[in-house]
Amino acid sequence: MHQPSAAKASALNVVDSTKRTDISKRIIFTMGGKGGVGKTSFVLALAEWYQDHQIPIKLLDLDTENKARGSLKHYYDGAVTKVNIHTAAGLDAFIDHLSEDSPIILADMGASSGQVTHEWFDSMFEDVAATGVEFTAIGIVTPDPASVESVLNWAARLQDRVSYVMVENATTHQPDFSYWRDSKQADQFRSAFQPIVLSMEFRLPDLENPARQHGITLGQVVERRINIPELQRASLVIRAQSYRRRLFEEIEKAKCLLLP
Amino acid sequence: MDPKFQAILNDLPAKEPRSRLDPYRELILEMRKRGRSYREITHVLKESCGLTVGTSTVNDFVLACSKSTMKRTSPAAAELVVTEKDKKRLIGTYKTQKDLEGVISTPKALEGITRKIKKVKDQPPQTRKKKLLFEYNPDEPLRLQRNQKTRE
Repeated sequence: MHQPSAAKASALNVVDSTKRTDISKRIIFTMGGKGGVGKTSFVLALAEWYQDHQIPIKLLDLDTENKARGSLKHYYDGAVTKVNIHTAAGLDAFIDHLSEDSPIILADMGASSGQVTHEWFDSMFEDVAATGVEFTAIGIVTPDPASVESVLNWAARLQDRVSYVMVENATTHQPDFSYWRDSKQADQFRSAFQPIVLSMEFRLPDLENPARQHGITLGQVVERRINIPELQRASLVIRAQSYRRRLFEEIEKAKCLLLP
Repeated sequence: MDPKFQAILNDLPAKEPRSRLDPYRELILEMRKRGRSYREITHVLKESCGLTVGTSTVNDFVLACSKSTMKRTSPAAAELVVTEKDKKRLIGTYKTQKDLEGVISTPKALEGITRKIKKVKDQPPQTRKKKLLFEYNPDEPLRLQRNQKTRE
């Protein structure tokens, strides 16, 4: 993994918010090539995991295409900053939102953010990394081979400038991840970058659909902080609790890449 | 040397100095060593020696002295002469002409500058291109290894 030298770091004069201090910083972003694979669902779970550990984070919603339901802002309206990355310096938001109070940025990228992100990394990575900022890219794969192709495409551009966490999102009851687990190209990716692989289990549509419709997280269902009848059924509350617990257990496996 | 040749040499009349500044060589070089500018030296020559010369004449004279000193010291050092072209190229590095004169006048400084120029010229251009750890062709469909093994 790329490790910037201390000498190089001291030689650089980057904006105040990223000056190297005792607290290092991490930017975590989803590799957003394919829409509807579960990027936002995983980001929501991850945000709840940080919340559970009382670790402050800054949430960025970079999915400008997704303005309504299903976007990160839909779930965490007040706490999310919406950023349009399709501007000359859109992804500089990564740098501008890092601070001592929230040394972690959790960014949900949009489905069409590849080119912009890759160009930003090519031009900015070296100098940002020299200030002590580390990057984790989250790739979501489903049984759909297009989701695997999308992740591999991103990885071919990002190379070892980031650490990788891969999430196998079971979109059906008995998912077949052959294209991710058995394809030659995915195997080459795993050999090159040794990603940490997590599982996100299939969720019952009875829970998933109304939660998505109303912008409700699993945590809110568990804590019964909502006034939506279809999400107040005792069985769904317990199911939400078990989904969340198992997902947190999975996330714990990758905590070394999720914390600064 | 053959005494006959020595006698001939002794009988030759003394050669006129090539430069009007030759008699003041020691004085001029010492002033340069002490960091005096060419303008100041010109002023001293006029006031104290009654010699009116231009700043550029003094400049050329000091450079000529530096060249001959280097030629005498070692053949390799002779290659380290800074040309007028090099000098002009370096002017931008210093704030004023005065600063420039102070820096490049001594043989040691000239040698240092020339060495730095040579070092930069010899360095290969810096390229940030890194070897790719993973390559992926999006036009090529994903190939399942399991199926290949079965077919084999």
